[in-house]
Amino acid sequence: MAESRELATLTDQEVVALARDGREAAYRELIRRYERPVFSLVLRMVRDRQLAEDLSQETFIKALNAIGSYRPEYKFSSWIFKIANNAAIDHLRRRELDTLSLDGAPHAATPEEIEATALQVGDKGETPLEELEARELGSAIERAIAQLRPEYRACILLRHVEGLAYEEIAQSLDLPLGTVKTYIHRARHELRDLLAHLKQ
Amino acid sequence: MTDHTLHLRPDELDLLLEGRLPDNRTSHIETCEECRSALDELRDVVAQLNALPALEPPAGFSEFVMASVRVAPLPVGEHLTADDLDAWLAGALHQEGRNHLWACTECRQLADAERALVYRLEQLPLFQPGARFEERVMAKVAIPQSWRSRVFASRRSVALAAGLGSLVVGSMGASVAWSLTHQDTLAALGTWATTLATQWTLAAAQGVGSRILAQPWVLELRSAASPGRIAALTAVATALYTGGLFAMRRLLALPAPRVARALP
Repeated sequence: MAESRELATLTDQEVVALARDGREAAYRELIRRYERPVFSLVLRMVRDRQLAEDLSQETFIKALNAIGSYRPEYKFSSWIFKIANNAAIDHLRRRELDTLSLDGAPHAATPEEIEATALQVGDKGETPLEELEARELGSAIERAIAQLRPEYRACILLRHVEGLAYEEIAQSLDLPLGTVKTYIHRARHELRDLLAHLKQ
Repeated sequence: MTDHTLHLRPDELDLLLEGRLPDNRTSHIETCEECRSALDELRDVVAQLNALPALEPPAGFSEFVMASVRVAPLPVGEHLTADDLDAWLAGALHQEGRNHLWACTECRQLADAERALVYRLEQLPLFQPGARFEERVMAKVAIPQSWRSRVFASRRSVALAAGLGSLVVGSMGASVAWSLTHQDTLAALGTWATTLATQWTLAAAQGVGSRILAQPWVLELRSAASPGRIAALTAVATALYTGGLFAMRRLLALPAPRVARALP
């Protein structure tokens, strides 16, 4: 207990150095520090709680098993978000996940199609987990974020929810700095439009 | 006797009245009657000035002034870029941009909308993964063990490491001791090994040489060789070698640095 309190005062780099020395408590400290940010990012990317848990778990296992190859000149947060984002994007590409689960499929053009493909919050068929997801991700802003392209979504979440600097996002997503800025500006523009539309 | 070069200057007297004069100069006033009296005079003047009543301007003064002043509209300039909006959100927008924002309704609305959106995004909660997430991860993480923790993992590993260490150190010590007591044997061994290596090298060189000399092309070369031909061959080889050197030099030369051109 005292050890974990002591670890909580250290920087990420110091905790990683201890983890490399084989200190189990340092591994646990890294998980404790990043489980919520990583899980939140992945959940908002894939919009499925169970899947997000699996992908977050996969992220941590991959990162912690490869802690020896981590380069301390980069921020640990950038590194772990990079792994998490890659896991989420890979999954979205593999499954071509419908990111408009609450507002209807993206190909739905007419109001009838939108209604037919939209998931209704509180449907009788919903499991408690689905209800929880709907509660967590059902607000207007969450639904607007869900409608962004995955690349825009990752950028805007890392910038304004996780609080990363532009440079760190560029590192995390392996994108040029200019591209990151463009994505974030476009994402904000689209979000403003989507929110105005949702209000109406 | 008072040193007149140390007298407080008028600006220093001002600073003293405001309580901002450095201590090393303030101490002068305690010993100098002249400066103390100058300070008292100055204090009186300031007190009298402060006591002067504020006078009201004549009626309609401000209207009269404003009628003569033409308020220039602020330069609107170009609309704010996305980077400018970022800078504004971070509280680091340049003065020109701030002036524009003040004058341009369109940009102000956009900036307000951006700020509201960013605020909403920043208020989004972080989600907690399910129970025992940490345990599930840790179950699949292979924690590397340092040599220290491996050695001190159990009594058996400590004993094993100690035994191995003693074996290595003991054998090294024995080897050094034997070498020190058997230097003649070591020297004889060295001489024998050197002789043997020399003999083998000579025999190998002889074998290779005799094999080359027995080749038919060596015999043909011997019969065809004449001083003129050898000279011609040497000249051709030298020319080829020199040409090759020049070609290599050109290929390996570093690019010439760019020279800035003067504008016509």
